[in-house]
Amino acid sequence: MSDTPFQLRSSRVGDAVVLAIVGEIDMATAPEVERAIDRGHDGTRRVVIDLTEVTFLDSSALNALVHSQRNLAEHDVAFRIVSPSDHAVRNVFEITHLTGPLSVVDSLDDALAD
Amino acid sequence: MSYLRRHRAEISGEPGPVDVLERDSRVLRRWIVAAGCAAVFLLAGISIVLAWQQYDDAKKQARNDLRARVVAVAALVDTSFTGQIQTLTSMAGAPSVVQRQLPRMEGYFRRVSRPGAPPFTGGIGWIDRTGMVRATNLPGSPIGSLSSREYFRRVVATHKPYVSAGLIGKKVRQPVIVVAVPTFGPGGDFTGALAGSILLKTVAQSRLALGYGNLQLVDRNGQLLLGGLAHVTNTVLLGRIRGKGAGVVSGRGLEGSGDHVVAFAAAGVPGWVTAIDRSRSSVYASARHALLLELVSVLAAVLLVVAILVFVTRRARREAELYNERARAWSSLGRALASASTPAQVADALLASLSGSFPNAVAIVAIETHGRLQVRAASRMVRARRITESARILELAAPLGLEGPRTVSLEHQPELRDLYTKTGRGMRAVHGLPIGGSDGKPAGTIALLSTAAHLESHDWAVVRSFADQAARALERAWRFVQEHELAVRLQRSLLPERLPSGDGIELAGHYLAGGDAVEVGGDWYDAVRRPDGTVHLCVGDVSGKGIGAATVMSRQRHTFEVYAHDLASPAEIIRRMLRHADGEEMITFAVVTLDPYAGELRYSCVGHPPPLLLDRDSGEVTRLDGASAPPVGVAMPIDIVEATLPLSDRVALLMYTDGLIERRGRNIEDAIALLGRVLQSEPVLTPDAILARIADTIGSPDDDVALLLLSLDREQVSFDVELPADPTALRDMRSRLRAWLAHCRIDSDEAAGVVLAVSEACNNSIEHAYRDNGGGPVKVTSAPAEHGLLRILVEDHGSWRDDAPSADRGRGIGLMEHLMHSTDIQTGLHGTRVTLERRLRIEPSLEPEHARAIP
Repeated sequence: MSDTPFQLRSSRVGDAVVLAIVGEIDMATAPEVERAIDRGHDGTRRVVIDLTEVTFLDSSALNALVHSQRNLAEHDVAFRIVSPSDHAVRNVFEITHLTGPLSVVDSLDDALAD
Repeated sequence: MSYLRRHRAEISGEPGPVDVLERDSRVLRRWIVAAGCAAVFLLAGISIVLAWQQYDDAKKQARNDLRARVVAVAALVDTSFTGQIQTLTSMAGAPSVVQRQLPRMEGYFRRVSRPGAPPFTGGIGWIDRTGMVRATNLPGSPIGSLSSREYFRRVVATHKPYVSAGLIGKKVRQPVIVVAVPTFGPGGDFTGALAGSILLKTVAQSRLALGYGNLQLVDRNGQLLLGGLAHVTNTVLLGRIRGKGAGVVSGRGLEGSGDHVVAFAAAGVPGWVTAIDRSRSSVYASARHALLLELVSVLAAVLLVVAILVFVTRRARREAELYNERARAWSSLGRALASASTPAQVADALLASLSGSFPNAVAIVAIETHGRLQVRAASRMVRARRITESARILELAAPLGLEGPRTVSLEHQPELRDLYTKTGRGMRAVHGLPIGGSDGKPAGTIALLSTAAHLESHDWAVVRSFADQAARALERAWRFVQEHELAVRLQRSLLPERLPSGDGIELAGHYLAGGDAVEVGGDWYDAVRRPDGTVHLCVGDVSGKGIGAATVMSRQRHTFEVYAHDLASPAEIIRRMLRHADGEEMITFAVVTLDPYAGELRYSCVGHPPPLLLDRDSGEVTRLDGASAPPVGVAMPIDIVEATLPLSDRVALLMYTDGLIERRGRNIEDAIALLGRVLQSEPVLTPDAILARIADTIGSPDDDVALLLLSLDREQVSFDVELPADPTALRDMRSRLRAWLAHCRIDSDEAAGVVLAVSEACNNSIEHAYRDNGGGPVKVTSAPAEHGLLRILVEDHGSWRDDAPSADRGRGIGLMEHLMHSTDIQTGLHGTRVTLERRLRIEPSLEPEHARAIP
């Protein structure tokens, strides 16, 4: 599980850009995530970061996500994070009290709803 | 080494001449003994014949002696009776007898011969022509007529004196002899007989007075006068001896019994035969005694001569044996010295030869070693141990030889004498001479503490020849020792001084110089612990010996160390090492890599015997032979392969060079199997124990051996990883930490939190500590939790400069603080240390650990 290489998959679902991330997001990979979000939000109303297959997430990742969210907010692009509540990664958002501010939801359906 | 071998070949000859010599002298000795014995028995035979002749002479002598005695007795008897006849004849001429005046005659008789007095103890009487006793000196009633008596009738018939046979006296009523003479009247007419009777009792008494035992007197009628007038039983014998003058006969005695010797002689006057009748044994007793004495003395002489002969030949044999022993000692000394490679072995060989050659001495050999005499002793003497084990005696005696060759009497060595009298007697002198030293200082000394007061010149020659041999051998041995010590020092300098060991990982390397060990070898072992906690082990062998092989070995070992630090894969390390081999030498080696956190073993071999992996819990031994390539010099980089195995909790790994298992004429496969069994059965695994067991079973190694033994107990393994200040290294660190925590049986959710906290601490180090100077290492260490408390340290050597946005910073630290029960960040001049502590939810591995503690 921990050996899964880091991957980024970007897709469009309606007017939303879904960025699915696989593997670990840490100091080495967080900048990539941030760059990918910056690149991919043009002409869209919503960016969904799917962390379902992320096995590790540290403060660098949180920082990157927080920066991206602020950046998107300036462009009026909605930001959602998918992290199932039964995954260890979700815990990181809970601990840092970022579940609300970063709009962390349980599933992709939730993220794409409303 | 080659020098020694050559020398050995020269010396190993057979001691043929000694055997021949021994055989010859044995034959000669046998002849001498046979000749001596023959001479002795011949002389003894002659002596016995002579003794026998003397015995015969002595017997004749005894018979003659007997005859002479009996002849003397006969003469005595004749003389005695002649005297008595004369006495009676003169009495017959007395007037009273001539004139037949009876009362006067009786008075005369009583006057001349009182009754009972000798010679006529039985009385005297005159018998007239009619036979009537007319006058007598005996009192009492008249005797009456004696006309019927033989003696009366003979006197009447012959008018001559007559001695009667034994008869019973009419008046005295006991055996008597009667001597009768005729009496004549004044006109010369025959008037009667004058008779005197002699009691035989008195004769018997006189016989006793004469001292003749066994004397017999036989009268005319064959009556034994001294035997109560009994008749001689053996009439045949009597017939033979009667009427002869004198003689000796053997056979039955007069009484007809026994084996007797009878000497006889005739006494003419009374007509008797006098005889001495004795048993043969009593006659020849003295002759027999003389013979016995003679024989005893001959026997004694024979025994004496034989004893002397035996003594002399024994001594000759001992001398011959000593000679042979010395000859043997000489040749065996040569052989022993040729194979002796240390001064101590030279001394032992010398001692063995000396103690054999001088059985009456304690042999002491002292070798000059670093300015001191190293003394040892040996002896074949009984009870010599008290001497050979007395250090003081040896210390005193040994130096006496330094100024030799000389003999020092113990009289002049009071201290030594006092010591030896406490420990053993009989020693009289010390004979000693130096070993070598003709061109300077002696290399040692020989001293013989001996029962002999002095040594013969040939003894000295033996000692000197031993000393000369030993001197040459000692010179060789010292040279050998120097070469050996140099080689060992050099070899040690080429091998790693220390091997990385830590909690749960123990490494032991061993190098054993094979053969004579005077040259460095090309075997090596090495181990490198990488910053990520993995350990690379390597054992290799450069073919050949000497400086060339050692140089190549040293280069290979250092090349390995360099690549092992940088590379994780054993195959990759080997591929890089191949580039540095110039292809001249044949090199084999094996590289094994252990990841104690991930529990993984990887290995690769080039032409090397397979390392053996022992699972200590199951006892199973695995040969690591799944990734083999040809040796260096043959193998191409593409040939190099790698194999991976999961690592059990408790394992031992043995890597070795072929010197351990290769023996001439032995199957390598069997030897590897044996090695596996040794690993399984040896309770405490050490290189020494393994070497000893192997040497016990298949003999000591002929060649050099390098051994590397690893013991791993993953329960005890601490986490110790150093990562570069590079964000991309974090992932690997987390992976290892996860594996380690999992092996420590920490719940995966909890472990995830710990991993995140550690990762955050590392982030800080990488992001802040090395922002300017880049690339310095970050060290993450932790020991297995004790009492449920897990403590992890993250250290760096950078300087903390907190200039990141506070919110971002805060998240990292907030995570750490939230995930751990204690987060302590110490920043100093030399770096930062973050100490993370967490009380684990469940006492980790309590039960499993206890369960595993029981094998």
